[in-house]
Amino acid sequence: MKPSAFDYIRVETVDETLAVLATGDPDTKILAGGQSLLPMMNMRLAEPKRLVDINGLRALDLAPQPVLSASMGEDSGDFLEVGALVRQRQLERYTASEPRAQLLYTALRYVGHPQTRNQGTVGGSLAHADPSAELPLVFRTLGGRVFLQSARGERQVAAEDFFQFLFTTAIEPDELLTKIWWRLPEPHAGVAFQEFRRRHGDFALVAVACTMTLDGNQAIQQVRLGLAGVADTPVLIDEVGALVGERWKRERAQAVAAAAIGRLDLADDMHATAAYRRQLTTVLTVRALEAAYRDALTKEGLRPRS
Amino acid sequence: MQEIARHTLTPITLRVNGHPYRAAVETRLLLSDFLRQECGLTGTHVGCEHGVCGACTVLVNGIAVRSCLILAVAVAGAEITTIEGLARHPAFPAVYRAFTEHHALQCGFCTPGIVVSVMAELIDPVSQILPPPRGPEHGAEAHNGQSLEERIIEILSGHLCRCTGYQGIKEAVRELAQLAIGSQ
Repeated sequence: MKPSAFDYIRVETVDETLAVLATGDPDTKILAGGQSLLPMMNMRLAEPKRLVDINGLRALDLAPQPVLSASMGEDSGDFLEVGALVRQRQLERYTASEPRAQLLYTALRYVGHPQTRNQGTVGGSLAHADPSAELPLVFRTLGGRVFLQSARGERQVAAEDFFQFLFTTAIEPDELLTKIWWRLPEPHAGVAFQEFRRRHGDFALVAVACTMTLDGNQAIQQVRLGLAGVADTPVLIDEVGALVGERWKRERAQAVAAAAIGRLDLADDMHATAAYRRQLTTVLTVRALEAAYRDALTKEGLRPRS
Repeated sequence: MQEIARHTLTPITLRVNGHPYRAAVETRLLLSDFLRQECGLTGTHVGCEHGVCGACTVLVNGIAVRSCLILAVAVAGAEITTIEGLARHPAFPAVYRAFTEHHALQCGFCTPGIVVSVMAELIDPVSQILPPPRGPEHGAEAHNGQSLEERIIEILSGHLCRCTGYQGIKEAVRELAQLAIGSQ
């Protein structure tokens, strides 16, 4: 249970980091909080030959702040900007008193334990891209973009294009994730997060994130629902769009959820059978939809008058 | 930029409990092993070595973290506090007494980590004392929307104890959270 040997480079500036990464060496890994990488190295599931420790990069420790009415092509709206090196606990404390970041706050409370969130970073969790992790799920569900820098320049990748496969993202070997823009839901949007795991702090067996807005007749106007733990990456369930224009009916949500989740390609694994996971996902999905609907009802007064 | 090649022994200095400890180490040495093997501070226990059990919890710059998930070379220059350091803290006797009175440990393997986490969460970073007494109406005072009970459970969720069933630990922490040390 000790890591195998590696070269260690502690970088002080972004330019230095990009120069080190420019070789594109696939055996080089970036060390941020290390709360996923170090366990994998201790268990020899990962044996990088070279670690680049970015904990000294002040530029990436950008405190969370809202960016309102931002416009980037067709992608416009309000975002929460968070530096990649911000600790999960720091974001948890910020979002605790930021009503529009309620979904993020709720999800953060499921990430590991307070002691691992003290060290684990927001960018590290996204870059690690564990298919059952909470932060990737919320990023996929809310939408937003990541900012990637390399010696070639800076580019942005939208949330829907970021996660590619198990533990695999759009980040190229020579690129550094510097900051994240999380799309903030409308002030009157209801949100919900549901998760099932064996013990507090364990990886989710299944997790569900949902945002929903209602129209003046308390019918569903817009709904987004994401799942983690059911595929190689977090996925959006577009089929819940069938509920748009309808008021809440549990039986109807149950039918839509069961049909959508029935189409997911689930396999048996050491934690659960496919049938169990399908049943669990359906139950949590209906709960998340109902909780988001009720949350939206309580936020009725925040809805702009049309 | 600092570069250290694998398999070389590089001298580093870590400040632990206020004292400098100098040793030549490999890049892959974990902070938990530095504390136990190089400093001889064996109060930091090593259980799972993948961040789950919490026995190796220490403070790095006053923040509770897993020392098995941190490289010793990465924290050169930081202020490390172990259970040996906290045992000299003015608030420690109250923690010791509460854990004893509530039978909050049996074999004691998990205890150092739990005490580090509890003291990190409950001791005010400015006054260095446990929080002032609260009337019954404040017994469940919200912290980030959490009740005191939820907060205690969340602190302890990061620690595995295979003996006590946690009830005694919860009672000890609940008492500490409501106790005034500074006014004594």
